Amino acid sequence: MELSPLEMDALKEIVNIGIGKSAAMLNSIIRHHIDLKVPELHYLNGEGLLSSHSLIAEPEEAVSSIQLKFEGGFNGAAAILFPMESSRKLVNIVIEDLNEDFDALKEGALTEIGNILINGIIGSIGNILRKDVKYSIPLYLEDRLRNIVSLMGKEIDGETYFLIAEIRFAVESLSIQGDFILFFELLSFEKLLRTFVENPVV
Amino acid sequence: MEKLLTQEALALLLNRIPMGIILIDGEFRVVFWNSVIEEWTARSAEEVAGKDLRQLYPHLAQEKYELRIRSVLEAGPPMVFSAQLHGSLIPTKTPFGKERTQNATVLNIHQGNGADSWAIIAIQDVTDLNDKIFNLRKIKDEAVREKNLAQMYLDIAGVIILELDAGMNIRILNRKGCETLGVAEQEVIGANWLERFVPGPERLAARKTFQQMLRKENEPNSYRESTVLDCHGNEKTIAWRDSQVRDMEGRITGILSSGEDITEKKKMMDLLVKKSITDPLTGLYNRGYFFETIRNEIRFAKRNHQDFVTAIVDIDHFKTVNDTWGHLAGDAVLRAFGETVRKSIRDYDLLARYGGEEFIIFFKDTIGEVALRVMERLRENVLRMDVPSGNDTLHVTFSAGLTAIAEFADHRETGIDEILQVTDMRLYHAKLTGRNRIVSNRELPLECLDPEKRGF
Repeated sequence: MELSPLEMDALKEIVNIGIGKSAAMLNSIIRHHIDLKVPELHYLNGEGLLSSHSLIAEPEEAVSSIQLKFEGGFNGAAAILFPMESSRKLVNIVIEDLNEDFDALKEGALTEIGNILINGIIGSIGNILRKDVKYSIPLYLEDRLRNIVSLMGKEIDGETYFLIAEIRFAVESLSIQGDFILFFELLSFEKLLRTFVENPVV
Repeated sequence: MEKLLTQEALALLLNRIPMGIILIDGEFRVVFWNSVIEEWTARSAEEVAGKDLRQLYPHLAQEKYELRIRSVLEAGPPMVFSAQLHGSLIPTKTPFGKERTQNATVLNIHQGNGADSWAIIAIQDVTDLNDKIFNLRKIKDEAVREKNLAQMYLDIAGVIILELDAGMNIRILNRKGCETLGVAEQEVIGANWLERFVPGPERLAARKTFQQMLRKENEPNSYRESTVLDCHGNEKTIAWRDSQVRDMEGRITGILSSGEDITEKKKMMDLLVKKSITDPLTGLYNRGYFFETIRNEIRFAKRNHQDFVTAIVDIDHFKTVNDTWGHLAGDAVLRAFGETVRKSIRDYDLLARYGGEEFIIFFKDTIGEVALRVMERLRENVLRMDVPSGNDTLHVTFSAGLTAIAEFADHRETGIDEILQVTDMRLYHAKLTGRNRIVSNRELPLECLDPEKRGF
């Protein structure tokens, strides 16, 4: 399935609105000012996803991830991926008192940050679609990228399409990178696109 | 299933769950307050029912809480409030007065039938969990520190520390070991010790030794020397002490060895030993070494029923040589003579300077007639021997006595002293009867020797 430039623009807009909300929320929680940007959006099938180097890590590389599945009005899953180094930096920034144990802090803090990022984007989509959607509880995982993507509940093949948004954090002088991966079942996706294009958000 | 549960049953269920459970309606009013949260907050369900959670806990009116909880009430995805970023959503204390840390998850419960959404706030106490993880981490840190300390010991150790697994692959080779072998640690860890450092001809024996050390009953701790090859292919001699490495269940998983590079020491020792057993003038063995060795040689010969022959050789008129031509000439004669004798006998016969101008030969596994033939040939070689001294050339002769063990009837009891005494008497006889001759039992049989003089 190919996306027209119009559809791609619509998607970019919705992701940017969501990320904007997430940034505002993160800034209310964290003392440092965080700038969030989504410089690039990719739309790839499963084969492309693991071979195109468009993701933040290689398929066999270990990453931190937070996942959320959803079903009902639209079906699919979303995940945020951070290379281990980025997740470490991020936790270092958001938690000021690092006297405590790092590993114990990491999971809780990253789950919440991922939760805020995902909810910003998915929440926007949900609002636009105005559908009843049931969400899973956010799940934190550290594993190889390939396994993380498999766990999103989809065969990684040429039939499944994924939307990938590169996420760049700028906090003080540090740059932290992550990826947002979203996939919808095909029908859901077409529904989503139709709604976007017919009802421009702004 | 849900329809089958009465409200009471549901309440009972929620009260049994070991988490704090709060239900709120779209206006943040408390609908349900389970017994766990009652216990934590010391507020009863009756007390809080219908009250706005934001009034009970004013901090929840802040954007970072209210906005996010509201998004859930508006059918948005679940929200997580981690202990790490918030401490706790509903601040409470443990019975010991410690602030609880809690992870909270807020989920939407759609009521259906057009009713408002509710939200369920599920709170998990992680105070103990965090403590446990913290303690675990402390233990881990200590283990890491100890490991670093151990590494430091390995690094500063003045000896080679080598650990091999059961397949003789290198697990540990410390800094000293790497220096001795001229390698970097990272390139040899995991490499096979045998293939990498043991010279080809010694591998079979080295593997056998190693496998013996691996056996449970053999606790190896004794001294062992082995030859290894460094990165330039130079042979080094290492003295090892070994011990078995066991896992938690007591299984032997490898061998830990400490080693000392004794290459130089060994060279020195070899030199010292050589010096102590050698006559410096002729380079032949000295008298001390001869007597040290001869008893073993005789024992070996008797055990293996081998014949042997001894000869004592004395240069004729050596005093005249010294007096006439000087000591330097005398020394030259001794050197040349020793060399001629050495070349005239077999390598494995024992030859030593017996003292002064006297030499002794021990012919191994040889009968009297053969030794006599060799001695006659030696006599001819010495006659042809030229010893240059200044502008002159010196010539010498020698006299010798020869004794074969087979001559003694009780030869199994016969000792070296008796043999040498007989040989000496025959040498004396050779001197008396004109010199430049060899006297054996043919000319002077044992029975003709004066038993008094023999003293046995």
